[in-house]
Amino acid sequence: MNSVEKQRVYRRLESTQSVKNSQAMYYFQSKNPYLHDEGKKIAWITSGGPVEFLVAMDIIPLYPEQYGAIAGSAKDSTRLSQVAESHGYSQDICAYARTSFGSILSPESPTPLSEIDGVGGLATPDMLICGNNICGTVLKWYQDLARIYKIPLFIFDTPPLTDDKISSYYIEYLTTQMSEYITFLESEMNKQMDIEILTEVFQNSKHAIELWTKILSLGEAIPAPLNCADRFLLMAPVVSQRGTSETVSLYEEVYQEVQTRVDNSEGAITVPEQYRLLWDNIPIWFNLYDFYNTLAQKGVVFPVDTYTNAWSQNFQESGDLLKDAAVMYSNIYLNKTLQHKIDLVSVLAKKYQCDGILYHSMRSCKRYSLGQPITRVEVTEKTNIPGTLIEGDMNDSRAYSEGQVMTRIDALLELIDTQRN
Amino acid sequence: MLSDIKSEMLSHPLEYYLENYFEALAEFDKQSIPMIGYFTNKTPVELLDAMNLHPLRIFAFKHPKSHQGAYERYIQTFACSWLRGILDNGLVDGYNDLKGIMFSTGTCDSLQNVSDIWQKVFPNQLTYNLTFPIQSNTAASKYLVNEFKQFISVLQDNFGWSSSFNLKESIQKYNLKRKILQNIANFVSKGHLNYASLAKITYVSDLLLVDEFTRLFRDFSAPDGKSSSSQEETPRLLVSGGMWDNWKLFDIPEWDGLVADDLSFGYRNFNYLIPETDSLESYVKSQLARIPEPTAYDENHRLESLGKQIKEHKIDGVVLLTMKFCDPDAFELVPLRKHLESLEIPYLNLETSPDLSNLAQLRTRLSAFSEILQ
Repeated sequence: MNSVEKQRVYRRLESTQSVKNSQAMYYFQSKNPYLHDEGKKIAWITSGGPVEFLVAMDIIPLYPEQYGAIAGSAKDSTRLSQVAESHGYSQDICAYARTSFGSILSPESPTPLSEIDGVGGLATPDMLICGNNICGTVLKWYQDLARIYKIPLFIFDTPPLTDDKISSYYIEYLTTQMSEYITFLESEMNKQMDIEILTEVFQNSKHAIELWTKILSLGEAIPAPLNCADRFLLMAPVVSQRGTSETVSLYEEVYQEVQTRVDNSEGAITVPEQYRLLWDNIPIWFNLYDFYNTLAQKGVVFPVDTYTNAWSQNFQESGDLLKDAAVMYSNIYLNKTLQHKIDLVSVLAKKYQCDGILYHSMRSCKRYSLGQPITRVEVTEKTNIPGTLIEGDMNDSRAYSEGQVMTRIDALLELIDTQRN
Repeated sequence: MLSDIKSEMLSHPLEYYLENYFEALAEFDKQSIPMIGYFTNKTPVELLDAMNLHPLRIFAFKHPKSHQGAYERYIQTFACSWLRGILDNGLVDGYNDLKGIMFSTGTCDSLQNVSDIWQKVFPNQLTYNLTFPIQSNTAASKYLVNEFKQFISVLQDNFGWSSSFNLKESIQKYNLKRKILQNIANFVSKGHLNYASLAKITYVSDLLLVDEFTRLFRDFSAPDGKSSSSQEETPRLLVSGGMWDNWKLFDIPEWDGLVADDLSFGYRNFNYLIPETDSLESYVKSQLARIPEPTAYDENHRLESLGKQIKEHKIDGVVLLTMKFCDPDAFELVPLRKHLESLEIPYLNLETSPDLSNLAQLRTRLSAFSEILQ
C-alpha cells in the first residue's frame, strides 16, 4: 500500500470529500435506531429501480449493489462471497449478490459500514423494490432476499427492448406498474402519495442527472479532468441519492471544480497523458485505485466509460409523470440491444477522442459482458479504434489475474503506438 | 421402444431422429412446411402451428462437424454451457434448415444476450425475440396479448397469411399431445415404463409435427402391465431442474428409481391444458398461469407444485439438476434446498453440462444417493 501511495499520480479532487461526507451521512441516517418512530422506513432497491417514489414517501433507499461496491473497495467482497458460497450459493452467480448474501449471513464478523453501528452490512430492509431493467439476476436475488427477511417485494418488470422503438403497449404495461407501485408504497407506509412532492423529487432527479451528464461531458477535454476511479466514486449520489436537493447541490460543486480543471488544462493524472482509453463495464472494485494508478503511471487515462454513462439517461416531460418515468426506466443501457451498445461505445470513443477501448469481461455479470467480443470487433470496424478484452470480476478477486490483465493492456498500448507510427 | 413405432412420413425409426438430430432437420425440411426453431417452453407453439409452421425445439446435441469452442469468437466461456453448444452447432450451419429462430426472452441474461448475438452472427436467418413479462397479472396479460399479435404480424410478413389460421384447432391438437404425454408419465410413475423412455418420447414429441406425434402415440401403452418387485424396492426419485435436453443422462441404471420430473421440457411442458377457444386473451391467460420457470417471479407457485408432485408420486428423494453456468438454476438451488428441507425430503445436487463431460462422477453420486435412501 505504501509503495502505491508513494507512486501516486492522481490529482485529488477536493469535492470528492463532500461526496464522501454526504454518503457517510446517508448511511448513518439509514442506521438511525429511531427511524421507524420518525415515520420512515428502509427499502432495498436495485440500481435501475424507480427510486423517486421512495424518496417522495420518506422511505430511505439502500442499494445492495452499492454496498457490494463498498465491500469490494474495502477488499472484503471475496470473503463475503465465500461466506455466501458456504451457505450454498454458487460461485458462478453475480458477485454483488454473493457479497450481499455474505453480509447478511455473517453478521458476527465485521463488514464495511460496521463502524456506524457495529453490525456491518446495510440497515435491515422493511421492503424490497426490484427493477429488472439491469439484468435478470436481480429478480432471483431479490426473491431470495424476500424469503430471508420475510418482507414484501415489489417487482417493476421491464421486458428487454428489442429495438429502438418502444411500442405503446410496452409503455402502457410499465405505466400500469408505476400506478401499482404507488399503491404498494401507500399500503406499506399507510399514507397517500403526495403527487406534488413526487413531481418535485423527479425535478431534483432531472437536475442531478443533467449535472451528472455535464460533468461526464467535461471528460472530452484534453487532458481529461477525471479518470475512471474519480467517476466511480462521484457517481454514488446519482445512484443512491437521486431525487434529493442535496445531490443537486453536491453536483453543482463537483461541476465547478471539474470545469476549473478544464479551464486550467489540469488533468486527472499528474503525468503527461499518453493514452486515452474507454472503459466498458463495472470496475474492479477490489483493486480500484491500484489498477488505475498503475496504468496512470504509464500515462493511461480513461476520460469516459459506459458504466457511469448509464446514469445519464434522463426523462422527457410530456405532462404525464408516470408515463415519462416508465419511458426513462425502460430506456436503460442494459435493457437495450447489443446493437445499441455497439453504437454507443462507438460514439463515446470518438467523442472523447479515445485511442483504445478496454472491455472488462466479468464472469459474474453476464448481461453486461456477453457479446463483448462482437462489440470489440464491430466498434473497431466502425471507428478504427482498437480494443481488447480483459477477464476479471467486479467483486471476486479469485477471478482476476493481474499479470494476464496487464499483459493484454500492454499489448493494446503497443498496438496504439504502432498505429501512431 | 421407439424403434417399434413406425411412421409413414419418416424414413427411419423414431430413435434415429434422437441420435441424428441434424439429419432429422434436413429430412423434416423436405416436408414443405417451414420449420421454426425455438428455445424455451414458453414458446407459443399453437400460434406457430396455426400459421401452418412447424415449431421445432432446438437441442444442444453436438453437431458432428462442430468445433468445440468456436463460439469463443462471439461469447465468453462463462456463458451458459447449453447456449455455447448451440452456437457451436450454428456456426457449422447446423440449424440452416430452420426458416426462423425464435427466442422467448425476458427470462435469463444469457438467452437475452445470445438472442442479440444470434442476429449478428446469422443475419440471413429470421430471428425473432418475443419478450415475455415475468409477472402473470392483468397488465402482464394485456402486454403479452400485444406481443403475440406483433409476432403473428411478423410471421405473416415472412411466411404469408395462413388462410386456415385456426387457433382453437391448434390448441386442441397440442392439448391432445399433452394428454398423451401425461398418460405416458403415469406409466412411469407406476413403474411400468422407465423414465428414459418418457424423456425420449417427450423429445421426439418436440421434433415431429404435432399431428404425426399424436397419430403415432395416441394408443401408446406400456409394454409391461405390472411393475417388477425390484422396482418397488428402489427408492422413488424425482428430478428437478431447468432446460435439460440430453436424454442420455437418464439412460443409465443409476436412475432406476426415477419416476417423475420437474423439468422445463418435461412435466412443466405437458402438465397443463389450454381452454379450447379462438380467444388470444384466454390463450395468454392460461400460458401465464402455468408453473413458472426458474426465471419467473412467482417462485412459490413452482415450490408448491414441486411439493404436490412429491406427495402424489410418493417421492423418497429429489435430484436437483443444474446446468453449468446457468444463473437461474444456480439461484434457485438455495430456495429449493430450503423447501425440500422443510418437507424433510433428501436431495442431491448434480451439476453438469449438456455434453455430460462428468457422467462417471454423476453416476457414482447418484448411486451413493440411492444407497443412502435405501
